[in-house]
Amino acid sequence: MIAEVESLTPVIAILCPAIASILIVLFGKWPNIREGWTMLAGIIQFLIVISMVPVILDGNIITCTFFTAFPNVEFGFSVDAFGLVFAITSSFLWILVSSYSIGYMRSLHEHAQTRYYFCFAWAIFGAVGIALSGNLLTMFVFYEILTVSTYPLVAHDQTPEALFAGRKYLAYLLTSGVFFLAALIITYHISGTTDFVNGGIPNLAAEASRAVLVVLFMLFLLGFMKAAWMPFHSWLPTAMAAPTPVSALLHAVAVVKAGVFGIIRVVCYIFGVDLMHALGLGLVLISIAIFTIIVANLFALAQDNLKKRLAYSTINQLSLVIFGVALLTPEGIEGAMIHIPFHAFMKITLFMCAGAIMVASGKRNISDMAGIGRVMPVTLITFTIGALGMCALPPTAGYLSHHLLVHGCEEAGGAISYFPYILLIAAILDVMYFFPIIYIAFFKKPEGGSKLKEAPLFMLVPIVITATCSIIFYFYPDLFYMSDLVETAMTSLNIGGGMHP
Amino acid sequence: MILIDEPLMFAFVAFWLIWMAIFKTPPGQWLIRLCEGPLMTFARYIDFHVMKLAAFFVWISTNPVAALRIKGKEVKLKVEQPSITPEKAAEYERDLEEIHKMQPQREPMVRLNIGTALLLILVFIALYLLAMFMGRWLAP
Repeated sequence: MIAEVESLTPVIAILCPAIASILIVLFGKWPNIREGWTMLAGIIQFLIVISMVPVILDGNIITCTFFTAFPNVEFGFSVDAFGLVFAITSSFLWILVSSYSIGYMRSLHEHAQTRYYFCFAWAIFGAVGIALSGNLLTMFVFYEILTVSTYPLVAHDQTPEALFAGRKYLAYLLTSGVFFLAALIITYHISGTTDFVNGGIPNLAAEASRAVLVVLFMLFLLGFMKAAWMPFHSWLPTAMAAPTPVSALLHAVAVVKAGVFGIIRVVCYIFGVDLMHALGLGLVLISIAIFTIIVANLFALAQDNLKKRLAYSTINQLSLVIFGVALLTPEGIEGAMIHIPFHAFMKITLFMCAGAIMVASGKRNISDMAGIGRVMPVTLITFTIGALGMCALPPTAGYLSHHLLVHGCEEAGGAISYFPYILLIAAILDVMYFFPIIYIAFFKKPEGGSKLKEAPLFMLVPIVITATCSIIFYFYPDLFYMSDLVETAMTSLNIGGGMHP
Repeated sequence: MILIDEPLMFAFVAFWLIWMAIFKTPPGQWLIRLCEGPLMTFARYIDFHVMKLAAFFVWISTNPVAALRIKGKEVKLKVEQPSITPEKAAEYERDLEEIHKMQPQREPMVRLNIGTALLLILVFIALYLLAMFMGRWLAP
């Protein structure tokens, strides 16, 4: 029996970045104090979020309601194990990216740094709000806050390219928000609630016909364009015009993970595995995921710009999460849930390395990076660790989630048991576009004499921490209670094995 | 536990490393060329059409009445063009240009206004109603 614990803790956790954003503006003329507030808010938020873990691991949920928006629809938070996985990931990585941002923004003498830190804080406010939302309405509000607050970050450079990227980003994600709103209204109309319920909203299947439910699911999918599934993915590579810390946190952790987080919420907590299975929607989702996995990998092969290659790799990895949940098997869903933090740690390492290379050498294209590993060994060794994770090779966290996804396929049985070969093809393609970067960086001779050195310490320390975490997860997946929380979430979902999508 | 695909994966990594040691260039150049050429062209094509779709929503929502008149005129011109005189066709074209001035085509996705959002909601509520009616109609 799940007990509800009333507490203000989730609100305090969410408000940390909002309060910090005010202080950031007030102390905008004093960079050290301004950035001190950013770091402090990140640390406090992380500590508050992690303090909720013991209550959740005991099988409880923490709730906090503000007001009733409509009958049976309350604006409030409900912290469960799965939400906490996303909240811990976002809040911890915010601390590291704040430190990284200090090094990056100061080294490049970037303009409008106060605006940058202000929007960054609001983006984290949105991301943690999504993680701790108790229903679709609350999630929708924070989803839109996340979209709007990240626009100035994407368009930060204010060059024509950056402004175009910002407009495209906004157009895709606001349109996506409209679909989400439509899906929210229809869900409420059908079931009279928008709450996330373990195993799905019970009366959803009884109150609507099959066709309506299929349309509803499609609306939800379009509403989660943040997951960058194809063909609605192109905002992500375009948004790489943003400064690298933005690409790192928002486009490897907060924004894109909000998309896949939403899809898992809809599959497991709105529709429920049984209904998804009955409607045959698992297969639809698997088809979209497989198409995206393969095509995104092929696109990545064609990129010479390092950040764009990483962006396509992100699209591929997000679809792995969708693939896992679409299997509708316990291990598939477990793999999908655990891949959210694992991928976040690995991909943020890669993005931060790309930024460090840019700051130290000004190089953005892979073909220009010959021999750079010899002068920037720490950066490129950590890059190698992240790349191994993307290729699902040991000893990295990526290997574990890949393992779970393969088990999920076997568990599903039937034709799905051959799908590990598709995952194999995806991993091979990952090797084909990540290994050449490592080869060029370490084994190719640099052109001309080079006086390069490593990026500033503020940037290097977070990279080393995230890379180390990616390895620690392999040996000890319970770091930050990740595997325990995922197991608690799976227990509360109470999914039986051996289902076919 | 060794998974079904693991030996193959490690074999490929070993193959890749040996290939690089011998030839000093990554294997699968044909695949990379395919990705850089036709596949990227296809990607740009898809992106262009998705952007065009969004731009179309923006264009309609700016002034739906004018947009409908323009579309109506365009369709009329296309239908009547084979049977009318060149002078009449030129007159139609001039009319069309005049109406187009009422609703200038902006750069795709300059802004997504509230009108667009409302229009999209209406479209999808219509879709929902359609699906609901179809569901009832198809029900035994």
